[in-house]
Amino acid sequence: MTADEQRVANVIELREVTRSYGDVIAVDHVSLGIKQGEFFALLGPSGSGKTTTLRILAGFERPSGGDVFIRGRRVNDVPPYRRETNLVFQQLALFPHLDVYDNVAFGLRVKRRPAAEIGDRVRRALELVELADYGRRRIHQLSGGQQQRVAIARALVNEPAVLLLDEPLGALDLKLRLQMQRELKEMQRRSGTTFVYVTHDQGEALAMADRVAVMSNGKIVQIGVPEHIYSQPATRFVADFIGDTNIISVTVLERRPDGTAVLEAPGLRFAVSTDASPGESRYVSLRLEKIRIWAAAAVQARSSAAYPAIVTDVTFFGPLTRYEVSVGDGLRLLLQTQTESEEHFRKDDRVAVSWSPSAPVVLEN
Amino acid sequence: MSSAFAFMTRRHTPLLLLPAFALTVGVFASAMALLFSYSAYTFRGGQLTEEVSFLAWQKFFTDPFYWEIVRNTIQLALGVTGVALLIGYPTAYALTKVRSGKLLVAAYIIIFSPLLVSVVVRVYGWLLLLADTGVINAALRATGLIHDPIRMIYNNTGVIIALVHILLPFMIFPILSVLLQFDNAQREAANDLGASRLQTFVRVVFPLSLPGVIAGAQIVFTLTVSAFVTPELLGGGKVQVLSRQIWSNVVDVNLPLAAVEAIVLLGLALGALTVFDLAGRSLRSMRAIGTPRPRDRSPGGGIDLVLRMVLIAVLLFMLAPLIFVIVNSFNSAAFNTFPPEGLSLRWYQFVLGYVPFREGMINSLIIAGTAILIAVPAGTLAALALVRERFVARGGLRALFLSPLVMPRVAVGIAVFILLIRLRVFGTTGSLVLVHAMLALPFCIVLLTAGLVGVNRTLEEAAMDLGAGPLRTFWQVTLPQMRAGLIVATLFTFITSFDETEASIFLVRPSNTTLPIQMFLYLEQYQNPTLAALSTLLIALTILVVVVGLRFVRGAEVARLVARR
Repeated sequence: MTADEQRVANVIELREVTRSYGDVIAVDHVSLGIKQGEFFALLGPSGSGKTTTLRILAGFERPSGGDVFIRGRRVNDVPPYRRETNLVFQQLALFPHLDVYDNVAFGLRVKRRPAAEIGDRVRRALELVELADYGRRRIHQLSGGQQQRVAIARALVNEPAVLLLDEPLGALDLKLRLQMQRELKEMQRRSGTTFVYVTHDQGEALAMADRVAVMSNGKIVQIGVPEHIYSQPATRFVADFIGDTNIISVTVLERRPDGTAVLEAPGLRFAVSTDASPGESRYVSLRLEKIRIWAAAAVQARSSAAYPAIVTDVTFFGPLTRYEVSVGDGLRLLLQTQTESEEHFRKDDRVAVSWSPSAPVVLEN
Repeated sequence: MSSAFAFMTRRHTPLLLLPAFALTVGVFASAMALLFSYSAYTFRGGQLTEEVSFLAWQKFFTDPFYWEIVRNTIQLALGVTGVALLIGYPTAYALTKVRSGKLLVAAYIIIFSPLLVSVVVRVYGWLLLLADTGVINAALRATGLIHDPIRMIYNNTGVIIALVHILLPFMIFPILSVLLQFDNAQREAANDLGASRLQTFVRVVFPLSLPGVIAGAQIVFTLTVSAFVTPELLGGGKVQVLSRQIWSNVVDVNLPLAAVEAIVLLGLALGALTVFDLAGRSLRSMRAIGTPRPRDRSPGGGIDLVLRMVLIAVLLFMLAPLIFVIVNSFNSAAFNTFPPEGLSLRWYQFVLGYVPFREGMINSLIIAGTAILIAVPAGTLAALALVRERFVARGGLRALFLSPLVMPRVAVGIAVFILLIRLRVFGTTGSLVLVHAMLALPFCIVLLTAGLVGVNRTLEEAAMDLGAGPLRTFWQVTLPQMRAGLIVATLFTFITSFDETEASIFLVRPSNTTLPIQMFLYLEQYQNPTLAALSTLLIALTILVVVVGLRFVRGAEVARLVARR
């Protein structure tokens, strides 16, 4: 595909987009393409530039450099009210002087659609968010979850090319948030609309998105499907930000013919598949659930590659139990086990830990 | 109350409230009670008797003449409110778009400047501008647009213009405060849904600013209904409103009828307050959801040409009467002409030697100074009890203390006039001091309550922990923290007393009167630049007092106090 064909295939295309405020660079040369019908998440901590990127898409911020394309059209200079995007605001921004119906009808009315069409589309939008009977309610008479759904209906009724969502679940309590995550995913599937979803909650992004872009300091550090980002984090930042992991500082000792390399941590050697060269210092991510723990006696029998360790701390989390062990020359590793199905250990127990050669991920520097 | 400070006040709550209570009940409430009883008395053959007959009530409600006056009063108030809204809304909107901090401060000062100048000075300024030989007619004739002067005084036009000028700040301020708190996410949401700037204003911004519009209209309407000096001086007897009718009945000694009219005026004011309150309450559902994000960060939100011109025009309108008063004070001619025939300082010489003005000035300063010494301490003690203590009648007492604010000054004037006559202290300086202190007390309580809420109570506890007794703590820790409130309350009391005209005019003897009353009487008889010279001196004095007063407070503190009101 040529660059032009790519631009048409993607409903949204950002090319080298930069936004700076004086000396502060909020968005730093961001390029990405979002496909039609995709549920795309922009994930990052506060200050990472994800909300600014979203506001550039909506038209509330102008890029200082680079280009924004929506459905193949360059929109850098198009004001928000002439864009094919609609935004679900973090604070919802429902109009308090209008009822539910009038809120949802707002966009169609300012575009002067015929009355019959407005009635029809508003009714369908309210059905989509399961608020068909709530049209004449005042906004402050609704629960938080219902207000959330009105905000989504108010945006979706305009049939935007892209629906932009700015941490819309942030204000809800945990239980409602989980329920709304499922509902949002379902609404996205039913409407077939492209969603761009901004969040700082990695669980939310992994649970809902088809693809995730992880942002840090105004840059995109990794883009991919949730499974890939979780299992193959590209950088130390991604590994740390998404899920719990052990970050181990290692030195590459030697490369083997089979494509693996032997790495050395303090008092500990293990092989891993990587292209790093001997002598390099790198970080390795080792997920908690990838580490197995054994009673010291069992290791003798199995004679597989395991490392002797001492339990230094035990934390009980209900279904999971988390251990901290000291291995090698005092390297502390966290690991967790299923409370029900696995053996239990206590502080100061002598144990052994092991992991498969594919478990550690060598991170880019 | 758990604070260590409580033990100082709890036992003494009644004592703290006593001065404010005595002032409000002793002067205000008892006068209002007398007003009601006098309305039932009989006036026959030029004589007042204490025979209860309700004849005045009967006369008022059966004679179409009085109905006409009530109708005129309401019409004038509606007209002034409408014009003030049409000018005030775009002005407030334009002010929210001004980016430069210095420009904004200058605009605020200009808009609020008329409030610092006596109503008589402002009316005099409008006479200079609007008279047949005044600035506007002279300018129009010079350009050849008209041949005969346009009549703008001694009819409704001049009265409306001058009242709008005086009351415009009261319209602008509430609208401005609503617009400044406006949740910018609402504006962005409308934009995002396809609404242009105009559509966003019509469909979202304006409906959501209605609470400010109603609050502004409420104040302007109520104050216009009670206005006396402006219709009296600029109406030239042609603008018949209730307040003027009260004045002429007092002059005729027909106190029962004047009392009935004052009560009707009071009823009009309270009725208007209630109607606007109900309208405001129906908008309660418009309260914002979530946390508003008021700052406008969006690009292109600057001030555009139309708004800029509106703002400049309004600022000129606010300044014009004051400017021409100052210009005219150097006029060498003995009557008000424009442009001045020559320059001269002779009016200043005359003013400084004119005994009634000098005596009025001394009287006014003595009265204002003494009123401050009564109202500010009484207000401080009452605020202390109202903020720090929980007692049964707290809400009721607060309402009682604030009630003189909503009473038309003319009605207060006649009521207190009757009281002073009964007590045989009419015309004494002491009686004026008490009345002015009573009128200023509500401002003091509002400002000092706001000031006290901002006091850090941990500091009081720290002082007590270090061994300071309750009185020492109050004196050395609490009072210094209330400094801004105390200074602003002192300024307010000074201005309230020094400019007080509409109630005082009932309460002075010709031999013992205040400066604004002297100016009022002078203006009714003569129209030469003497008053311009005096007004210029007063404007300079006011600027001096405010500048010196505000040197002791930071701008941020004043803003906080005013915002709380």
